[in-house]
Amino acid sequence: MFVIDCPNCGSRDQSEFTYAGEAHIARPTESENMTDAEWAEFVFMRTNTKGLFAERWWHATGCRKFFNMLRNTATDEIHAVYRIGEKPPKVTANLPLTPAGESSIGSGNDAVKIMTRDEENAS
Amino acid sequence: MNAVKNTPVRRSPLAHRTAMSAPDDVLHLSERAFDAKIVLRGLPEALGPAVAKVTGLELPSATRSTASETHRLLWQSPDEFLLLGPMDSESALMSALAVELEGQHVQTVNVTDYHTTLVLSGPRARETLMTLSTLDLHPRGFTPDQVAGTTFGHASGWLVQTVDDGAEGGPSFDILVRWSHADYLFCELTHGARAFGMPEAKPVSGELMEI
Amino acid sequence: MSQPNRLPGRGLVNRDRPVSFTFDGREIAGYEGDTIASALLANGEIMVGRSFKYHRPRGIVGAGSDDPAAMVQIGSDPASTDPNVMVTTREIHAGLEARPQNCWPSLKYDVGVLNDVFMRFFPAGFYYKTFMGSDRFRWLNWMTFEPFIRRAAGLGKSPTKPDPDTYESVNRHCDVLVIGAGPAGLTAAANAARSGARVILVEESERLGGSLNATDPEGTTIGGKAPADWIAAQTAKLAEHPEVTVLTRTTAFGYYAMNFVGLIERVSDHLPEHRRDRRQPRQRVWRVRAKQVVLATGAIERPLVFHENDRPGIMLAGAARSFLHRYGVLAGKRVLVFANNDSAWQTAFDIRAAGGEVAGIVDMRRELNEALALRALKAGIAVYPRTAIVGTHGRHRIDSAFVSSLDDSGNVRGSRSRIECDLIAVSGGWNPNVALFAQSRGKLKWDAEMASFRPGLSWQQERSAGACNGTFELQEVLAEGSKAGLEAARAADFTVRAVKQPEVETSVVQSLNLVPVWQVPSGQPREKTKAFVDLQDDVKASDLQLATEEGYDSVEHAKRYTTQGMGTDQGKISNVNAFGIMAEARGITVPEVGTTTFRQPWRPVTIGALGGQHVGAHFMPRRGTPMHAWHREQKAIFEPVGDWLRARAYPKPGESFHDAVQREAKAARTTAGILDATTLGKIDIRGKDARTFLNRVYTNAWSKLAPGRCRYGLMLGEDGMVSDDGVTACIADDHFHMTTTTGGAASVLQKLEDYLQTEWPELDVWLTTVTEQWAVAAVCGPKAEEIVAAVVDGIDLDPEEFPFMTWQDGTAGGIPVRVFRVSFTGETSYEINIPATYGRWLWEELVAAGKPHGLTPYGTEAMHLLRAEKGFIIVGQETDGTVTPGDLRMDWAVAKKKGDFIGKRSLSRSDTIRDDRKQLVGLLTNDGDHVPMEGAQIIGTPEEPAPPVPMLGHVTSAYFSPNLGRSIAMAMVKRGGQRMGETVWIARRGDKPVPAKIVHYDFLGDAVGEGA
Repeated sequence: MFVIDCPNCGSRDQSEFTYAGEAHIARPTESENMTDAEWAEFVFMRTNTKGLFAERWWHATGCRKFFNMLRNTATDEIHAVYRIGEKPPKVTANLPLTPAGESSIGSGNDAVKIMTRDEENAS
Repeated sequence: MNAVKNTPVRRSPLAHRTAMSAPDDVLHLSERAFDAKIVLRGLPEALGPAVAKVTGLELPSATRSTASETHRLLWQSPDEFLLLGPMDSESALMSALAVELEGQHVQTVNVTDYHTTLVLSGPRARETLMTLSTLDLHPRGFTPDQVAGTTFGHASGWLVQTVDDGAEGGPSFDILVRWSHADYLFCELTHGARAFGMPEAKPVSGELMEI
Repeated sequence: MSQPNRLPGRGLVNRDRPVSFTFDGREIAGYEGDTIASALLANGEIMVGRSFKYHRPRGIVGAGSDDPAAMVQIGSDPASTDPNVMVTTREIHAGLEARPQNCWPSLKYDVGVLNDVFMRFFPAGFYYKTFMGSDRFRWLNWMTFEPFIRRAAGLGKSPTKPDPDTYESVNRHCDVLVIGAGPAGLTAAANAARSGARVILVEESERLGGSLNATDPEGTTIGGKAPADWIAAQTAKLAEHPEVTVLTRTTAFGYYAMNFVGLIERVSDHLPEHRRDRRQPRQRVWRVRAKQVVLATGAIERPLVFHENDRPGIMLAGAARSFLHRYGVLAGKRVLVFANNDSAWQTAFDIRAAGGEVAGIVDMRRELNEALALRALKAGIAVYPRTAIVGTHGRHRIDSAFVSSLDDSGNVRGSRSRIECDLIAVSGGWNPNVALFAQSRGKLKWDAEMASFRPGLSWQQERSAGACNGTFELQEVLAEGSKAGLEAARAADFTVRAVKQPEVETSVVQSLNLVPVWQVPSGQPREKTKAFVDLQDDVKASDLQLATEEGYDSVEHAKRYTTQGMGTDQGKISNVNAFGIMAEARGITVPEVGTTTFRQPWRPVTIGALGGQHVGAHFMPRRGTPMHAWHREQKAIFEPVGDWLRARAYPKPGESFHDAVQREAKAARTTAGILDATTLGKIDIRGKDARTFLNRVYTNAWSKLAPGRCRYGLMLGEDGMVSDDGVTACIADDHFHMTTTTGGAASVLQKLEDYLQTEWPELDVWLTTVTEQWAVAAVCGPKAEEIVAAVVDGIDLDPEEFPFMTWQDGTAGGIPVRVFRVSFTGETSYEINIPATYGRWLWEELVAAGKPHGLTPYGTEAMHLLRAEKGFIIVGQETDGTVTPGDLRMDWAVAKKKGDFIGKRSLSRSDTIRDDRKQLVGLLTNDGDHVPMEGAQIIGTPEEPAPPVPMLGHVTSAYFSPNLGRSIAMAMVKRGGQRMGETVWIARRGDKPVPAKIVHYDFLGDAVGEGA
């Protein structure tokens, strides 16, 4: 269970919130001029990011406001919470090392359960 | 002349329950059914002066509430507040607010019958709430006049601390819960307070599902 | 029994309170403070059960939650019996009944032991090879064998009746959570507490002090105090701080994201029935959200892996010390110590000092600690350096060990000699208990000196102190505990100053000088060596080696192939040894092999405790309307609709459900019916842009709907599929009252808020749910007007004056009501909304007023039937998320000319304009008495062809209509709109397809005539 820092209500348990999908997908205003493929892109297609992902949440039992959140889907770190209409802030994240890989810590992946020599030397 | 001869009977969601207490006054649970309740939607600039004029109350800041002898105002979101007033005052409040808010981009909705209020008080009130709520309900985490919309087990509702911890009899909390969740929450609270000697209210059940 | 192995004057058990319990049907005597294990050992018993696969005798190996296989079944009541309870952690009490598991007919004579005889036929991966992959058994399959295998293997027996006990889960927030109350944890908690922080200290056993309780009380002082006095002083200090919570008999079982830690408190398991407080749960789960965590979980000793090392009587050396000092029990009469490090020597010294007999110290190392060797010599203890135990003897308990000396390369040299002993105290080193650290997703670090893993890089807000961090010297442990407590408090924004730590004086061996050994040589070929790694799952070193040879390089694959580290103990004492054996087999290092994943829970947690109080009637809210009690009084049959319970029908005494529905549906059209429609979702919509908003969320046009009027609307997803429907009334130009389906109330509000907040913030519109503000009674039928007139004032109810799809305000008994002339039945209908607290009163007034007119309450089943007669859809019944308005042949509800609305563009996608889509039609079976099954498939031929059968569609709703005197059905059929009058067939399982004619779905219109 996460704790989510609602921009209006403060720190609350994840159970109070409803996930509301990928953020920053604007509804096309002139859809009648769009091809089927372009429209399908909006309706059906979502990125399935491993790593830093901008997503929307709804504080269902609290202020009932939607807001945006930057979460690292590989580690479940929440990097930022920001309001609808705002741009995602620049953050430094512990990103996956390869497209198929995991962040080097916190992801629970087999490959990163034990410190590497380099990490030992650095610490 | 009314078509109906019988006088209307008003029943609260928990009319079938009685107030309950644990030994040594460590906990009390009761329903305060008929507060007038009005949702105010709008920006504080629009709502503030009107509410002040009608109730004498200032708009509360985020996650807080303001109160007088007769009224209480709960923050619910940056553009939503819940006004509580004395029983049977909802029509008068709606009318008075309508006059003050004429022409403004606001919404006032009478939700008097939507919620009921559970009153949970006593030195064990916080621990009892902790059996159902994920909020930090330690006196350092949840303070007098604080407000939170949250979940209590599988029900949702609004919690506000109305009486200080230092007061005689301990702190008191109001929980505003929708009609259909009231019985569930009432029973969950007594169930969670068993350890303090609270008698247990069993949820209404046993409806026939087939012949 | 006389407790022959109990030593006078030793141990922390309460000698003033003798307690007896039964094990395997025999009465066993012990004292308050004993575990089942310590009481059994006091009475000279060590064998507890049999192993999972080979049914080999299993004895007590550990002294706490590290023990792998000494488990019993508690109680025999089919409701409350508790399987797989560890004898090393379960405290005894009067009336406790423990039985051995996994053996039949008795512990000592077990039929399943035949598996042991055939052990060489059960190599690693046996089940996979034999029953899933082998050609020989292809004629059979896993499903055939599984029940037999499951019966032979397995541990305790699950209860078969509902659990009579109660459980509870509670939530807590704290600043510093300290897990483990040994010297490090106690010191950490005491230091954090001084800051005023909220501290929770968790201890798995009933007693604070951890390893200090398992140490010679004469051998150590802390700040001049004996260990017990120091523990008492620390405990007293903690009690002075009001913000400190100390939980004993509580295990931190899971470390989850964002410092969320699950604790399981065993509230009353240790108490006899009559002393249990019935107001308390049996067990309680604490869901703790901690700002900072201090892990002080100690270390777990690992055994040496040697030939015949699984017999009862082979115990961890530290466990033997624990039984001696904590419980005053000599675990054996003649003890042989077997080790590759210094720490186990303390066991020999302590047992000797307590008057026990020590058969010797067998140490695999060539270089011994001279000081210890001297101490042994003084104590008269024989020492066998550079020697290994290469075999053991004894059926239900060892009676001797075979030892051989080793050559320089560590191989067995020369002959074996026999040493008589009834206990081998074994130590292969210590593994810091990093389970919670690893669960927190921290990274482990290989420590070559300990030959084990320790915490490396932290991921969450935690720190490790003491043995779990690889620190074993008591003075350093206290320093680390103190530092961890202070740092944690400071990191949680508290201020606290360090204080001087007490000086430690101790004669206890604190050095390790470990020489790692992963498998002790047996001097015999591999296939003859029974050197067990995992005592619970019967995994031998040879199984791991075989798995490696067969290519299971990944430690996670090897685990699953061999079952190493599975089961209830999750390899607590065995995993590191297993990784070592795999590393040797592959010729690489242990950190290169890696570890398996440490998963929650750290030890088994009762499912009941995880469910907590949310069971039975408390499982979920059962939402009822204000009229709910009335429905109950009428003995209505209910159905769940979401969380709501709605009256489905009101059968009279002796009446069947079907007959009740028929009667209710008939009455609604011939006299009058009344329905509780309270559960429909209701949203108050207000703002100058409310019409624009409605135009965008509904498919039809709202610009011209005048105040006082109502309109039906369809709501789509952006994919063009119908998602909800309902009637919305115009209250004023800028004010609307929307209704939604019962199930859609919450999701529609969320969706509307979503569009308002994110896509159209420029619209001046506010939304507020009023679903439960209003109780709704819907009265319909020819007599409805008269009945409503007897209750409602201030409205001319004449349908001419108060037409269909309008609303008016009135009063009932002076209470304001709002009446909607809308209909879900096709009959003249009045939906009366009254503030919910008056709902029951209004309902009863209507029922009383309706009595002379034959007003009949009808439930949701008759409602479904009535709407089907009229051909009204139910979202979720006729639709399934793949149905467009066109598919429903409801194009009339879609405004082509207005602007954009949700889902509009999708209605012109190539897929949604296909002309062969399924469309909604009515179906009349040729046999009017036959009611098709809902969901039945529709085919185009009188006989069902061989599969694959071409499907035309399916039945969505089907009823026997009392008003038409025949069955009716609605169905989605390919090109249905173009098939009017055609015959199709409804497939039936095991029966002939039923012919039916496609008609329009308004059965009250011309559909029946058309079909006839």
